[in-house]
Amino acid sequence: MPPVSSDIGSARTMLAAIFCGTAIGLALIITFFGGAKGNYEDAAALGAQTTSVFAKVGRHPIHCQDGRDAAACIKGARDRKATSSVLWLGNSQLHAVNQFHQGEITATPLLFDSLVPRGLDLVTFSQPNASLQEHYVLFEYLRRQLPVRVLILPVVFDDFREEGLRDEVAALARDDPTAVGLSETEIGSRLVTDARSAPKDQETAGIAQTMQEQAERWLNGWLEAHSSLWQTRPAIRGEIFISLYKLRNTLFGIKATSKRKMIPGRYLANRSALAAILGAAEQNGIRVVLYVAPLRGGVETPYDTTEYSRFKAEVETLAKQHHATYSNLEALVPNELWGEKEATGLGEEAELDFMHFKAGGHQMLAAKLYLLVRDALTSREVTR
Amino acid sequence: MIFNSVTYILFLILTVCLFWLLPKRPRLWMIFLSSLTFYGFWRPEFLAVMLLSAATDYFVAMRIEASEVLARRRIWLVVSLFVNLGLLFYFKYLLFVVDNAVVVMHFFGVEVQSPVLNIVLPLGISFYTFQTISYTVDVYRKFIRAEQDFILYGCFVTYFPQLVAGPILRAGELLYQLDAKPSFRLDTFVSGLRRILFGLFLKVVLADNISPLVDAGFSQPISALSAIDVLTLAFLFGFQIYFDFAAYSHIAIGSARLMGISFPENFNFPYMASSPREFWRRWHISLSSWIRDYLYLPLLGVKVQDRSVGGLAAASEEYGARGRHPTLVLFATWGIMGFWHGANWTFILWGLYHATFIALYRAVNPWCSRFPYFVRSCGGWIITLPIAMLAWVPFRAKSVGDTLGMYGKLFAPRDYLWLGMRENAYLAAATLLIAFVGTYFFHERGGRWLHQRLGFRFVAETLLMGIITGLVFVFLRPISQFIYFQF
Repeated sequence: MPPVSSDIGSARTMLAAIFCGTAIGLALIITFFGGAKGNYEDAAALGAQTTSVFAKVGRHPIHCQDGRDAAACIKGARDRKATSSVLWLGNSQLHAVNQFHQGEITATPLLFDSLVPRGLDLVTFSQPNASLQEHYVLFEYLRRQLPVRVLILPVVFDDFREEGLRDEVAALARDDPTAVGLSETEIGSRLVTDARSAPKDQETAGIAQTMQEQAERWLNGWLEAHSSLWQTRPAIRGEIFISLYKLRNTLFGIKATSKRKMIPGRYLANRSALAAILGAAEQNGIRVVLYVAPLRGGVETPYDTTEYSRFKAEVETLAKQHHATYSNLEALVPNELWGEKEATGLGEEAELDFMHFKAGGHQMLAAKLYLLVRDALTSREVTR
Repeated sequence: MIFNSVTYILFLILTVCLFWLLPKRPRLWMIFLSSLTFYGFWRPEFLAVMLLSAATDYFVAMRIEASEVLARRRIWLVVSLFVNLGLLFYFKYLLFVVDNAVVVMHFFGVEVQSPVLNIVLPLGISFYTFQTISYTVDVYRKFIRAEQDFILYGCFVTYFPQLVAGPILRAGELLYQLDAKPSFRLDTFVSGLRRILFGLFLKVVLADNISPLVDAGFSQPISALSAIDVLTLAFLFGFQIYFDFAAYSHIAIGSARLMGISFPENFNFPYMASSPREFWRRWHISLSSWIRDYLYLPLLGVKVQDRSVGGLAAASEEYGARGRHPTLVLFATWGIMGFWHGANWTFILWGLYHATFIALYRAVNPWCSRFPYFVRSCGGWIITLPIAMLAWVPFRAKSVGDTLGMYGKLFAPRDYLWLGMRENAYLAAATLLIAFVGTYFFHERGGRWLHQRLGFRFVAETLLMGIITGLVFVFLRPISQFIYFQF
């Protein structure tokens, strides 16, 4: 049946709508998200007022993130001919400086300088929103690469709400000796299974190990080389998710002071990972300094009081069981050394930052941890 | 090759251009070779399996047609079934049978070791074997003539838009379209383009971003999930699998339409069904229609239909009360349909779950008919929706034990008093449900109004396409296969 003229008119209208819509859609993306930066994970976790600082000694970093730069930190420690290392694992509190000014440094280089006279090297690894499960993988990997004598491990209630291994940490869990070490515990076996089943490249996971994967990589490479907009797609995706996150917070009135509830399944998994870390450290003669991370005071904590108290009690019990040096440093950093962060909602003022302090807070943390490391090396008793 | 990739877009552009430029014979060769290329981009070594299935049925159909002796025709039909079901059994079910046999032997005290079998499931085998079986059976039933031209027949079996995950087509629906070059129609072409864009949106923007929430929820130990969590996960996975599979169908239908070829619809807002029976008129229509004509109605002993529409339910309304042992046939059919999806007891449980609710519906339907239409419709939807969503639990759970554990939560009152997942999961489930219902009502009511007003339609379409193409541009990447690829 030949097409009716109204059908053709309607079809032309729809075709025009597709082309106009496409042009408008791409124009809007360029307008609103064209300036998206690559590291949107840090942008989401830290906000504009907080700066990430990863310290170096000489040419080598002493503060790294995860699998992507672990080799550099390990090489540095070996080049320094470290015979005893202190390994410090944590979240963004370790690498973030609130209200950063040029020349300011984090706790890592300060602690490093304090430990050198005692014949100790220091290497720090931290990621935004790190979980204890990720710390477990990193610990098992790094203790096989470095002569770790002391492990410093902060515990943060927020970190016990996290789940899963980011790609850069999962890669370390696939390392055979690390996998063997992890497999000695149930939680570790699960992490190894998850890491092995996770795709090595998320972007082409659906076509992994097929001929199409090669074609797709080549085409993507060509598009990235010829289109800056195509290149910026990952950052645009990140910006979209951050915008959705802020929209959610605005609609439901979620702020930095809103109460964060425990997520039972994740809490149990992270607690198991903590116990596994402490057990492995004890078995291998590694002293552990376990501390409750500094938290902003003077305002109500963003956690359910009962759950938070239970969390601290359980951490202390685990520390005792495994002869770790335990300390509650919640109140270590005074209020004036805390800053603000970008609002978590749309179009709002900055809000209180409960996790990231100013450079002065890093000085206090480094000083306190030096004392705790010293105590850990001289005593196996739990101290406060 | 998967649809949600730059490779496929390039491949499609090239294929469609060649389709309209080439004369008939080269065009058929182009379709056949491009379909083989499409499949070979996954694993070229499994082309041989597909061609074996196709070649067997090509040959068998001609033998069936050549013979008027019923016994001989039946023998050839059995040969076809033996080869196709044999391939399916070897690649899909052998490991399952062996593992269960070992369990049974251990139960009876016979100590045997599980043999190590490294069998990879060829992509789309469940779909193309069903398609070739339907061809042979239709020739046997004298619905169609056996195709003499192997290339044309090969195009029917391997036609790339529907090769890997359907819609499952009958030879009578597709062969004549491939044989005759359609005249180019702009409205069909534009409609195809829209379907592809919409399908990509459902897959790369919606389904792929729901997936992490579902994975996180199902990876939790059952003890860490509350009753609300089980319901939320059921809804989330229900939407994920719907968007994922409907996306594939949209892109398949759209890709075919770019070549002027028409496929039947495979989905019709399934979550707006007001009864379990109606659900199966709206979900994976081509599969349930196939099951109706090649399994359900023959088992009932009644006359079959011959089209990929209507679904299983259309038959059960007419024939459910008649035929031999209707309830037994219902459960057997659904058990097999579940088993078709995967070699695991969870899929069989999924099938039997649906059969149970269809049987219950048959029992209560006469009593419900005394209520006004509005009450039946809304009340039916409120009851059917959670039933349909909860059916997906065995589909996604790791084991029958996990499935029963999750269902058990729904019957524990205390498990309704706490929540075990991150807030985003509940928010996403609620948002998706509201958006889905809103889209349905807009499609049913607002769509007609817009259709009569070209100006408004242009503005609305421009806005919609702007959002869809913008988001598809940002999110297009092959981070996951389509869920139904595993079947």
